[in-house]
Amino acid sequence: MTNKSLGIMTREKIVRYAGVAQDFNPIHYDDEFARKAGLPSAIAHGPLTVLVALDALIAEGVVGSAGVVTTRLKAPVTPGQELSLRMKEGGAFDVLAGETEALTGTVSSGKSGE
Amino acid sequence: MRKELQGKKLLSADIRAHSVKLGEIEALLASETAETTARIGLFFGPSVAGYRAFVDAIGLDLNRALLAGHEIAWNRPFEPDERVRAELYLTDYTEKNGAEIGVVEARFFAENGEVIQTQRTTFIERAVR
Repeated sequence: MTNKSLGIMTREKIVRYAGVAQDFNPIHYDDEFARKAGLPSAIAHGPLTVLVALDALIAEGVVGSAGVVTTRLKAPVTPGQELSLRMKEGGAFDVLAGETEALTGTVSSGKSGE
Repeated sequence: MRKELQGKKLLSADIRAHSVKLGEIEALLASETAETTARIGLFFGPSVAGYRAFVDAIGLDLNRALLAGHEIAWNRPFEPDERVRAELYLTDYTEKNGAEIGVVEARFFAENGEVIQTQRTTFIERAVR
């Protein structure tokens, strides 16, 4: 098993992603709104965490121009949390936010169905 | 969630893999592999026609909705500025202990009909309290 730091999930990244995805749900930038929804603060978009994981998997060379990444989102990621990728056997991986498993998934290379 | 839509097309949209948006994702990721990653992770299927259009089409209650899973299966990266046809389907719907679980499939086609990418996104609507 190997762990690789993916850096900090910053509010800047969240705001930039909101612009790209055109997803301005206040749960991603308004702490008060997020707390009323039972969250500790504003949270990162789930697809942003997936995107960060995908980038790390490509950097690790486990997937490239064709592949499949399947993820399950297990816990929200909040601004300021450090993310890390934990590669496991057989293409399985986790993304940790601090000590918490935020995302778990599998990766395989090649075109779908191959 | 509108369970009667199971198996049906929710939305379709003619979109473009805008190089400007690719650049925005590259800047966000700020990594050596960001260019490749941006060309794969450019779109989040459910929001290709605008997030509001998707929410309205599927009848998602945002106060109870959670993103539970997301899969990307790609045959190649998107080319900068290429035209893409996106189609969204509600491929699966189940109920469990009052919660509703829906799987939305987004299919991305090139102009020649080639399948570039397929995404499967799982949403959960928590039970009404």
